[in-house]
Amino acid sequence: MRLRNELKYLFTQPIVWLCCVFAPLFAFTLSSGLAIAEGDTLKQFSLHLISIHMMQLAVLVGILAPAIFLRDQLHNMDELIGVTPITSKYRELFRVVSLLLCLIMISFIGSLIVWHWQLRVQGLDWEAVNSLLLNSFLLLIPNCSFLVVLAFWVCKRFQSALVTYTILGAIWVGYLFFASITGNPILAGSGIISESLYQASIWLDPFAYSTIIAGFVEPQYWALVINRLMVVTLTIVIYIVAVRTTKKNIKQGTKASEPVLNLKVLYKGIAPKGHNCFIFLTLYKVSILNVLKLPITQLTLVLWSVIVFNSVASSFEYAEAMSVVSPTSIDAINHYAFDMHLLIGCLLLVLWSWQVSCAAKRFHMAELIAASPVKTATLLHSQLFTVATLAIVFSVMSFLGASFAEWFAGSEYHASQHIYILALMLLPLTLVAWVSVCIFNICRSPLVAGLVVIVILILKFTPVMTSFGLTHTFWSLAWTPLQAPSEFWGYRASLNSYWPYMSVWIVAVLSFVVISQLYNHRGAGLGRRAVKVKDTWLALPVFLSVYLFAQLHFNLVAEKPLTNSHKREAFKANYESTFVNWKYKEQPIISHIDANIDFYPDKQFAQFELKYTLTNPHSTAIKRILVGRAGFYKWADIKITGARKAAFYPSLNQAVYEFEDAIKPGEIKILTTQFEIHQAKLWPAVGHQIITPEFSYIRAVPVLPTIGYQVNYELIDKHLREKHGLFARTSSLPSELLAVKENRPSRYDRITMSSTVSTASGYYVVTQGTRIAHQREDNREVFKFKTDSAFNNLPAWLTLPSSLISEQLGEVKLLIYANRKTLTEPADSIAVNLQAMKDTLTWFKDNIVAYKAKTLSMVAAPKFGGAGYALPEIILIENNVGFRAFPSFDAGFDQRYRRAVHETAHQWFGHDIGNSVPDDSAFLVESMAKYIELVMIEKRYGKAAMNALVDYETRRYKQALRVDTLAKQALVNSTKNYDQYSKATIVFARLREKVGDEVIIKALKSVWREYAYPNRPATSMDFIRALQTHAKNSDRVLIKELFLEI
Amino acid sequence: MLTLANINKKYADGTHALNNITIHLPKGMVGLLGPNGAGKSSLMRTLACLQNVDTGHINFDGLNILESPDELRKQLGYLPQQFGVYPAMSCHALLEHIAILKGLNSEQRKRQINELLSLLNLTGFANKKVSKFSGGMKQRFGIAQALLGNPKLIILDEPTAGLDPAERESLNNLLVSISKERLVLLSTHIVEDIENQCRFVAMINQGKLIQSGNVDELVHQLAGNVWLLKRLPSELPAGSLVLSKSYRYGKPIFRVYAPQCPEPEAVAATATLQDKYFYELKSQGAKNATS
Repeated sequence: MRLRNELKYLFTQPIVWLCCVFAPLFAFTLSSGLAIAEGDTLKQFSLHLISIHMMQLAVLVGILAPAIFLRDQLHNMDELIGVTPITSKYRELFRVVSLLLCLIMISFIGSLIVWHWQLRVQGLDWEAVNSLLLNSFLLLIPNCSFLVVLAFWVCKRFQSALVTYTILGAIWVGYLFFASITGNPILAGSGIISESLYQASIWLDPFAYSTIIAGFVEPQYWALVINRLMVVTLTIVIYIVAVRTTKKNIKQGTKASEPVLNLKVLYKGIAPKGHNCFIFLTLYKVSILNVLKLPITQLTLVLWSVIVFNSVASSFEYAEAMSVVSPTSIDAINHYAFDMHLLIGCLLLVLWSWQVSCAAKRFHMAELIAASPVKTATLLHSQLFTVATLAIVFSVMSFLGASFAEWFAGSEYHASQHIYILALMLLPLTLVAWVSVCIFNICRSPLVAGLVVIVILILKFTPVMTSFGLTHTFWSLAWTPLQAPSEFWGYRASLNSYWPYMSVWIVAVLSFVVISQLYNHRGAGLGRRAVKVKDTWLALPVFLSVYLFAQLHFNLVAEKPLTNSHKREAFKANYESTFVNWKYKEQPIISHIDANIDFYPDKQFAQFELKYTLTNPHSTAIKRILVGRAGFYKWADIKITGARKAAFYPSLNQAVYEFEDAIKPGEIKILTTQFEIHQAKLWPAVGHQIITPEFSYIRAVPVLPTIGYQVNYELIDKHLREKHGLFARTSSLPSELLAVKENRPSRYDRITMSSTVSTASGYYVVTQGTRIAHQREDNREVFKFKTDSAFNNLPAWLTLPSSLISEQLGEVKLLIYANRKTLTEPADSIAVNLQAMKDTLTWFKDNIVAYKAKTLSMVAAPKFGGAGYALPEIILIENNVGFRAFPSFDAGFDQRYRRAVHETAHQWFGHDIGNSVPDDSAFLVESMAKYIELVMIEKRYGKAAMNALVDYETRRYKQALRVDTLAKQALVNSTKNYDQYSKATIVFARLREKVGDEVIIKALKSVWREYAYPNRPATSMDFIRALQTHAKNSDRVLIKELFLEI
Repeated sequence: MLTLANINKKYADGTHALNNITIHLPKGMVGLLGPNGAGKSSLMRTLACLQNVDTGHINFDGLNILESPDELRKQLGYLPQQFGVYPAMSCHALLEHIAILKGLNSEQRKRQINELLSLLNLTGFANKKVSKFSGGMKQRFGIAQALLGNPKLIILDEPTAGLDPAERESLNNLLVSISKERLVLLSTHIVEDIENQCRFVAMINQGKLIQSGNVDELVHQLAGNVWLLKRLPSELPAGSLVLSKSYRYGKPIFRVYAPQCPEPEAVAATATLQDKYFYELKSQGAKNATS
């Protein structure tokens, strides 16, 4: 009866209903589309359940606990309830139980929604039902109980809703942080930072999520049982402690014993003579003290500083596994000033803006304040200045934490770097806080205002709109594309784009401030000014904001169309359905490119004038050809000798050219085109098209026009194909399809190239081919290059002002372009990279086949999307990991050397053979490069270093395996990165041990002999067959097991 | 001094809180009477510019307060029915804070706060936190803050709630003394307080103004028609109304309005404001029932 009474109360509370709506909605959003038919569906289902509960349990408890445990106090009913005959012990028990039941119900609905998606995709699976029940009994109920009693204790101990929100919020954030450092797969970018911490988490994770996830690799029955028993015991202990915690006596009335009035004193009114400015300062002072005097605020700020200190001090010298840098302030900045500072800052400022805006109402002083002769503008401005000050205080705490960490670590410290970035970040933080304050000032109900603010935060920090196909940067309030700086080029990647965004947001937010100044309930929540005709001037700031947003939008899309997965899928589906008949039409090939390129790094653009030589390699004449450009580039002016544009497809950026006289077999035609590439000013400079003063790099794909049908535009996922009405593809595994020797393209895609590239004075140019001329014309450097032999059709052109180090190795000139200023002690990176290139070239020359070109360049690059990337004759290595870093004290091998070997090996695996058979997987490219890593590291550093590499990859493999819910694949067929890299390392280590390098080398030699250019392209199965041929009979089973079996 | 013309206010839930109220309130103490939910607080909040009206005009001393709420606030002293305080602030600090909001400069604040603390006998508690005050002391603090500056319009919603009889009397005396130069609008359920202190009274019920005027004139309207009865006769004369039933030494006493003596045992009683208040409420109830 009493429990029913509690539940009845509970379900009359709006906050409970909101949780009942939003929590399942969250579960629906998170799980919809995640369930897929392939792979380990049970594991996938468990992961989805864990992710739902992990993301929402603590939040739900935090939201609901004060409404239940503090309700008497919040609504001044403690005395009324206190005198009822039920003992406080029982009353509290019923409240704990009612919250627990409510929480379990809401969470279980979420679980059912996840199951529903699983059911839709998979059909009824009793194992999934079993898993759902086990999850509920082993995880959900104990975890809910633990959190509920914890919240109960917090409420009883501190008797403050704010403290409860903060502590539960901290538990939520803290657990996510813990999960991210123990390799929880649910969090993108998480990794195990310490093996012992990971092992401890399996036993001690209070929610047992780590235990369950670890159980995906090997069963953890005992760990789970002990963990659950511990949590249940802890829950009981906390409950007993909470029950015994006595309530603080808040009301300690002071009774006046003196007469009521002093009749000797006469009341005399005083006409006010004070200044408005003083009113503002007083409001500001009281407002800020109301927040800063709270112990929880002080604790939060100190805690934040400690978090920043910890984050910076613990990892700012980290470059990658087993590799460190001599840290600078920029490294420190990258560890706190972006994601963490912005997210926590926004959350805290929104909380503070609520405290500041609703303080008078919270303390029931709103009517007194609202009735005072303070101007509404003064009230609002004092609140805006308060939150701006709080944003500064928050930034100062970040600064102190980071500075202290740098001092502690003895790094190269530049206070100005911190101040600069914190000032840049302060603006968006302040704007978010101001919008929040304005919303609380406009909306009379704090609940409604709170919901609006939460929606704004959801839009800002989650890709929810993208999931609806409505991608736009404007959904994120006060967003800028500001990226983490690097020692390579500071803030070059994104600083240009900061002010265009910020200026628009500043105008928009100030307009909102003006509006909220007029339509303001003055904190009392009773009434706002009515809209009047004389307010029409308010349309001006609104129109100005709309105009600026529209202008920014059009500038954005002019630079690069806004896209998302939905749009890309639609484009691909449209492309395939329109041009699928071109897939098997014979088309000419590009046999030569004459490139005339003018780079203007300072002005951030380049002019291209290209001449393609198109050759018909087929035995029949070609009448029509399909020419295209990637969807987001403007159509270039393309002319083909003897052909006219017969059809144009603007939405697909494709055109059909028809020759007056069909191109005869062996005949040549010339395609010419001219276009400009401008560095986007409103998007960050990343990827393979960058033109900046520090670094300019243009890769042919996807800038240059293409000839013929592009297979890479096809949708691969069968559900997506079905959704877009495309025919189901019969995708065969490489091991099956390529078992038949003829199932391969007839030729490699090879070209020759001549480039004339002009650039700014003092700059180098890097491209494929040998430099045949260099001269200075009109204060510009002009370089001419010519390739000596055909190369894989992936041209690229770079221009940079870096230092050049060169060394001749036989006929090959090795060039390294690096910025020496960014190198720190021991500053041996150039030597290490050069050594790796030399070792690899020598080994290939001695064992397989010599490098075919005359130059091989390595370029230190800013962050472009990867740590290393190999183009024909050019290697890009990210500056931080490849040049600034050096091995950590416990490193078993040198990552710089390993990466340089790997990328150099791609000159053979990837650009000599491999990458030419669309149906083949990446085994012949990536996995074979991993084999070369093993060989070269052992050769240069010894067996121990090679074993260290194997150990490292084994750890990575196990971690990846734990989180992968897709079906396992044989190494040759695998499309998974962790197979292609980590498993390949383990497999080749075993193969070398059992079979030996000699057999592998013989197999490789035979592959080159039979399938290297100009023969028909090699496939992964060619290598496996060759390996089987050269291996002893006894080893063939092993080879099959390692490469072809799961 | 204060004129309300055709004031209407409807809330989102459909409640017609103020229904076409038109009244002129003179300077001095003005009482506002009405049962719970009659619209008293709505009217006071409207006069304090805390909420808008749907239609109507309000004029205070020549000032259209709906058009110029900021101007009215400069002349306003307001004590809501319930109010809280910032938890960490002392009585003096909080008065100082509100005084600043009311635009008093440093010297003015120092002088007036000391005077008010002394007047309301709070000097000894000036440095104590108001959040720890007893109900009566907190109410005295509320009066003090309402008197800060030189308010011409003082709106007091239940100012004597929570006060003991002695406190109530002292406070009433204070209000009478300060009302000479200004309009003090007093809302209370204690009709006696209004009868004793106010020259003018307005009665509202269900958002409508049911009666207003000088207290003595209103009371005089019932003079000679109020009777005390120990028991109600089976039938009262036409036009009679039972105004109230109370007990004295455990025996019931009925106060009845009747144009003539309702029964031989009836004793003529002196009419009070409370009789007039009940008479108006019950008359309106009867009218509503008839219509």
